[in-house]
Amino acid sequence: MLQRKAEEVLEAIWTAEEKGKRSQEQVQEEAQVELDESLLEELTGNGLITREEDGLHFTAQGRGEAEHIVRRHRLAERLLNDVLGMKAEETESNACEFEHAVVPEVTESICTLLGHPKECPHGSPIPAGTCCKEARHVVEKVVVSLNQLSSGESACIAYINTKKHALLHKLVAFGLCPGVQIRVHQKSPSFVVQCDQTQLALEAEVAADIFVWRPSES
Amino acid sequence: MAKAGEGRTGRTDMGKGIPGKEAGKRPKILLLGNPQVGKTALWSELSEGRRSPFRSEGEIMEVRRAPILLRGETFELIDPPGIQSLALDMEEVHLVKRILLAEGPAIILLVVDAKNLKRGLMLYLEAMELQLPLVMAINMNDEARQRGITVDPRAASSLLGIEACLTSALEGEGISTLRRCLAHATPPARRAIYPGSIQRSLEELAAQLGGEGPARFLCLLLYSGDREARNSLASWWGAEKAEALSRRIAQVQSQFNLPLSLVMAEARLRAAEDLREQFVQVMPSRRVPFADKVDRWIRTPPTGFLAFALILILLFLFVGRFGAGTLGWLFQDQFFNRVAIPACTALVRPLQWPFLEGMLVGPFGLISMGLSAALGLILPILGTFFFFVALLEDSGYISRLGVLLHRLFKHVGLNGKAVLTIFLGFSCVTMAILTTRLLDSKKERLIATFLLVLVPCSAQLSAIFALAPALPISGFAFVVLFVFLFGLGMGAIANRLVPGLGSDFLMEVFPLRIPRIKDVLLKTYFRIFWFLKEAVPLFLLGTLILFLSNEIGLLYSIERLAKPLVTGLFGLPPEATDVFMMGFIRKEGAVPILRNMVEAGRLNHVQVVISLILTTLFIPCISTTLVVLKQQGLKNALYIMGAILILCVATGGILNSLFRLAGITF
Repeated sequence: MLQRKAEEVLEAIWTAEEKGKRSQEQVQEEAQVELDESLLEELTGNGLITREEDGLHFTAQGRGEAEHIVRRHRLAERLLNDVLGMKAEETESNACEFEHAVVPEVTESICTLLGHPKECPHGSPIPAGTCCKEARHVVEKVVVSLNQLSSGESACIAYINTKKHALLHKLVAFGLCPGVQIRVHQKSPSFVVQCDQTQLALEAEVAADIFVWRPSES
Repeated sequence: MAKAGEGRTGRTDMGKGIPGKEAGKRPKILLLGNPQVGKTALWSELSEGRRSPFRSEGEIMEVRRAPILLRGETFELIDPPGIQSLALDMEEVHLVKRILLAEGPAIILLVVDAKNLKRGLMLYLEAMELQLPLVMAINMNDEARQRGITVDPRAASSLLGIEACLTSALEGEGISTLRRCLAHATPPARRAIYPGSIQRSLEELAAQLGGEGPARFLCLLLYSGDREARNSLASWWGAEKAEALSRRIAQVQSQFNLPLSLVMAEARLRAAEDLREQFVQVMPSRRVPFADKVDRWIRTPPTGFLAFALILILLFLFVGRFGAGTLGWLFQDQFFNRVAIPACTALVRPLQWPFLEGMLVGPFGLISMGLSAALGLILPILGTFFFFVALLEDSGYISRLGVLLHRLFKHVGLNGKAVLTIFLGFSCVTMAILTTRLLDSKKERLIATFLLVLVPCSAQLSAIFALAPALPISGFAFVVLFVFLFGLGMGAIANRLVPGLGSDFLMEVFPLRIPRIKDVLLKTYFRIFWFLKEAVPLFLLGTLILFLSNEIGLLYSIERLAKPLVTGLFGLPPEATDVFMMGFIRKEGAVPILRNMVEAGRLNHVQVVISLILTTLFIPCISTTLVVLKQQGLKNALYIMGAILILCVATGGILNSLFRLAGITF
């Protein structure tokens, strides 16, 4: 995951490019953050942009990243505007927060929920995602309990829904907590899961309390 | 439970700068680490074989100690059981904390698994608060490399501000570097890892309480809601300070929805993830190692059950055929019957003293029955059994059995974690009952204790193995099946009757590995040593009591008294009473008498089956009875023993009448 500031810069370059501009000053006008030298160095170093005489250019990888960021931002604006009834001018700052926080699976679900919109409330185009290309029209539940995964699948823990603090504490001590990748080895006679190099056996009742982001199909 | 007094000694010890430096006391090095990270292998490499047999402390858990030489000074290297976290409320954790606080080690040797550094670092972040010189051994480096994990010890060392090195204890790699590191141990750099308000109040309180290592660590324990720390709070710092401290903690707690212990544990996990990023590189390999495939087979049905059956067959062949058969023949028939007993008889006979002759080589003789049975008949069976069990333990198989049998255990009110406890029962019921403390709920502890009294221990198993040749296969199968189903049935009933709830099943499944024969032999040796030391004297005492009661005619009176029960109800000859008496003193004691009776043709097949079932399922020995009393209290112990007695009489009577009515003779 890129740093927040870096994401802002990529977004600014994208917006400037849409307007046919690319010099550093023009990009700075679009950006929410200071385009300082170290930040640009970092982006070049990561192979996301190149700096040429006429201004800032994306590399192929940088373009991909920027596309995702812009897509998340504009989808967020649509969500706030269409579903929550926020005015277009108010959506901007909220959407800015949103774009950094949303994971890809959720982006797809929001897009599907909104019916794959083509433009943001301000009229800028929203880059299409896989869900748009496949023209999905049903939102898949993104967060499911661990026992809905099949064995061999990996997923990221979203939250652990239990009132038993002692159990929770033990799980944390074994390295299990939200944000951690977990892999289901087997589901019967009891669950065996792996997290890093720790293999844990647990019963179905405990597995039912652990919720994960549904793994993407890829 | 640590009493307040222990806590206080701990504190004064630790307050003296370098603790453990008082005259006459060796400074100590404490090994700290997660379970199964190779702590004990490292301990054994470092101590170079100058180890004493395991001394068990806290009764259930093995704490190993050995002297090691460092900078020309002798240190004591302590290896307690592995733990997940110092902030968890578990038996093992309390034991480690007691050693930490009461013995005040001079150096902490933190052993972490290179494959699984996150968890090692979580423990590091707790130990860091002790502010004691700390060395990190990043162990199992060979396994990590195989999995594409590269650890940079120098980066770790400069990041954490301590000595750190890579080791592979099983290969003996990195041991000399580790010794150098230990000689230069320094306290780790402090780092703030907790959410602002917790961290601030933690620092503030620790400063008020003296500021140094132990105070910080104790504060950490208090914030984590540690039961023992809270209980001994007032005696450490006086009622007034303790009161203020509790208020402050409550105040911090009010800012969080989750308990502080959890908030802090999560903070440690995040911090450990961040630290790991900085000196570990992972190149995941797509290849599934063959071991993982084997692992999957033995964990899942139906292959898992096949593997289990295969293991049981191997166990029977190894212990029954090789141990009881070949070795037993060598020890008892060749050595005792042909050499030792005739030689002793030849020595004693010229004295013309029948009492002494009877006591040594008569039917209840110390040598002819006591020693010959203990060393000739039982030792080969126990030795081979201990070896096989140690092999299974070290391979990591037992936790897989837990995965496989979890549902079965659920029926009797236990869960997969209890498999280890019950499994231990097959070695020694008394020892296994002590480990019921590791189970999570009261209900589970009671049920496990009850079932363990029914579980045949190695002594009772040796009876089955020793008498197996005397029985047709149908009789043998009946005994085994009956014992198994009876235990299952009783467990299911107990599950209904005992109030309360079980616990959630959560257990680590350790990596499968090929056990090192050296370690297995060592374990077997220590257990045999224990048998010789603990059991043989009692065994001889039992023989002596039996001999004396026989001499003064007491045995005959007891036999007559028990006749209605033994002969009438169970359909056994009156001498069978001796079997039960001897069995109570030491379970192994039942074996030789039973075998003598079989060999003398005093028992038919049905009688062998009945006496085997009764001795296997019932008759807890003296030490078991005492342990049950101690662990469960008088009331529960009476319930358990009462239930066992009633079941014993009923089973014996019912089986006897059933066999008679149905005309079963096997």
